[in-house]
Amino acid sequence: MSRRAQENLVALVVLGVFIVAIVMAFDYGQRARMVPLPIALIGVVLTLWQLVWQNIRPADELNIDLLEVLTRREGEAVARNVSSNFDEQSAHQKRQAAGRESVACGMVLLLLGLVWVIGLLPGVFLFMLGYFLLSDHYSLPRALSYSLGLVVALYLLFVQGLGIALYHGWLEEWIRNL
Amino acid sequence: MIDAIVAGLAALMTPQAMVFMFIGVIYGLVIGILPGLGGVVAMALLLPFTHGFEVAATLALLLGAHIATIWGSSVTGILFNVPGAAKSLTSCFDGYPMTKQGQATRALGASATGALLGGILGAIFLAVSIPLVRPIMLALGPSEYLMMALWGLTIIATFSEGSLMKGLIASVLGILIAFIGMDPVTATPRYTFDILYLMEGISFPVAMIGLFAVAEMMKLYVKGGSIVDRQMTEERSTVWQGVRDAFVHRWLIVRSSLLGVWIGVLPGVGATVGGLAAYAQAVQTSKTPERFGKGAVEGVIAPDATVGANEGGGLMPTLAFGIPGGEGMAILLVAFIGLGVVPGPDMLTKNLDLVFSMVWIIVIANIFVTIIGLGVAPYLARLPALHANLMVPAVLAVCFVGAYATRGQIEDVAMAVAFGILGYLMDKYHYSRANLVIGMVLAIMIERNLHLSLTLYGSDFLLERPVAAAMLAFIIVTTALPFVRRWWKRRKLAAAGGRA
Repeated sequence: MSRRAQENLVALVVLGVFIVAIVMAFDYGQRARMVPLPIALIGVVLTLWQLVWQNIRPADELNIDLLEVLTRREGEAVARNVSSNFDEQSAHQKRQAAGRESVACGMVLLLLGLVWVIGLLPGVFLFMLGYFLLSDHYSLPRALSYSLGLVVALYLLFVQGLGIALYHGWLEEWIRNL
Repeated sequence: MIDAIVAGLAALMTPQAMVFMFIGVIYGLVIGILPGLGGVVAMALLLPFTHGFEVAATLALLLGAHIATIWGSSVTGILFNVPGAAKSLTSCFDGYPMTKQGQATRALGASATGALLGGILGAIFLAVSIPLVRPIMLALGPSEYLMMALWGLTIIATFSEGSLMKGLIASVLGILIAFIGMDPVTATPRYTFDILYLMEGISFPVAMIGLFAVAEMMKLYVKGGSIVDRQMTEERSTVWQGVRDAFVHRWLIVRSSLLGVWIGVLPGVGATVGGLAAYAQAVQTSKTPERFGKGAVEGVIAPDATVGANEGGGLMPTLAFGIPGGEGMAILLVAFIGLGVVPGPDMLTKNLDLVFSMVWIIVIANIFVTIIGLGVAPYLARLPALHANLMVPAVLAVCFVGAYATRGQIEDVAMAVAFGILGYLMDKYHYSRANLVIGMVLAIMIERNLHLSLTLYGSDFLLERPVAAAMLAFIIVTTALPFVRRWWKRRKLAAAGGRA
């Protein structure tokens, strides 16, 4: 997918969020929607403006917008040429980057799943140990000691020091209910 | 008054008070560095340990911890782009770019010195202004608070990562996210989809952990290596450069500190708005505003000075009226009750020595924090060079536990993940994450004060409240100033080019 298509997709999703916010606001009383409704309307106008603008500009200027042109804002945008760089990347590089993004996303979701099922500290321990071993960065003894060290530190700080009762996981609850 | 100043200091010169303050400072630094846990959590967790000790020592423990969290939460913002608390959000704007340029130690030094000078100036301004501030406080109403919130919002116009339009869209999105939950004015559940968890609204610390910490770790994983590649970018700065920077920009510190005291004095405004307003004024008054967001040291100094000074200002309404200036001061109020101290106008007459004890605590605790901070800054600056394979799982683990610890709900961990993915996508497509948080922070304040203004003064409240109208004019002028200045510079350059 080209950078422009991705930018358009993101803008359409944001536009959808604003439209949903407007539709939902009509269910609320006049005072409850007094601020959210106009704010969401402003959001729709801004996003439509952005959508139109990013489709009438050349691909290498996707991150310059009408406001910047009107105010003649100086300075370098963070990644002004990101779109042209993106389109210059080879298909292999794009696939590789997308793959790493998917893994990053999956990794965070995996940690969430582990925490949800077996609890915070066991989940964190398993995740760290697995990460260290799969990334091949540390040997098993070092991976074990680092994971254990961090979990012990978290336990001492949050449970012993701050007196916070940590989540024990769905599994423990399920076993208790058996 | 001089007697009260001396008596206030003398009350702190006991071994118990000094040891308590030192413990409070160390504890506050640790809590500040942990994502999601700020000064409020630090003080709340100390409350059970405050009974049966000297009043001054107890206050030294509580306030010392609270003050230390200011620099503690700036540390993670500067080093990892992960603000430890909402009030340190602005430390990411220029602190993190400085880290990436090999200037982390300098940024940490500037931050610590900025907070120290802000804290001291704030305490001095507070001491001097005790007799003056009371009538001013009573003269301000919701319309003026609305203008303060709008001032914080002007930062969006001056700071956007990549695209102004996308920055505005992000801030609108942030405002709408803040409306999730029970409407405080009408008690209507908004955007909750009948989910009980959403009734309480989205927690700011959880959103920030996701948007910054989780998203940054995802970015680091995708990029590989470390945040700062020491072979490419050598850490070549020193803490003394940062200290010198703070003194070079002394007038910025004076302005920011005054702003901090002023915002602290206003009940319910809070240090987060203070930090944003300080950053906005630093950009708006700079001769080179285009450097901000790319590693300008003034962008680190100004917010820290404001947040440092804010503590002194926040004491004023807490002590004089029993109205807490912010969440931290609300905890202090609870401690007062436990200690048998009754806040009210008598505090500024009969218990003035206790008030000055607190002013001295702010000064001494800030000195402790700065000495420790300057000592450990070179070691902390090495952390961003750690490899992603160690950083990613370790930081994610701390963030998940931190997200859970904010409210003790597992749903908050899921919310942090959702915000993490949102933050990653926002960063990738250049929708400013900072603007989203600014929108979230200011939305409730804007809505509440708008409703109050309309109820109290009607739809033409600006005509009824000349101070609010003057503040609006000031906002318009300061927002337009950088654009006008740039236009003037271009005109002069064009004229010079024409002559040549």
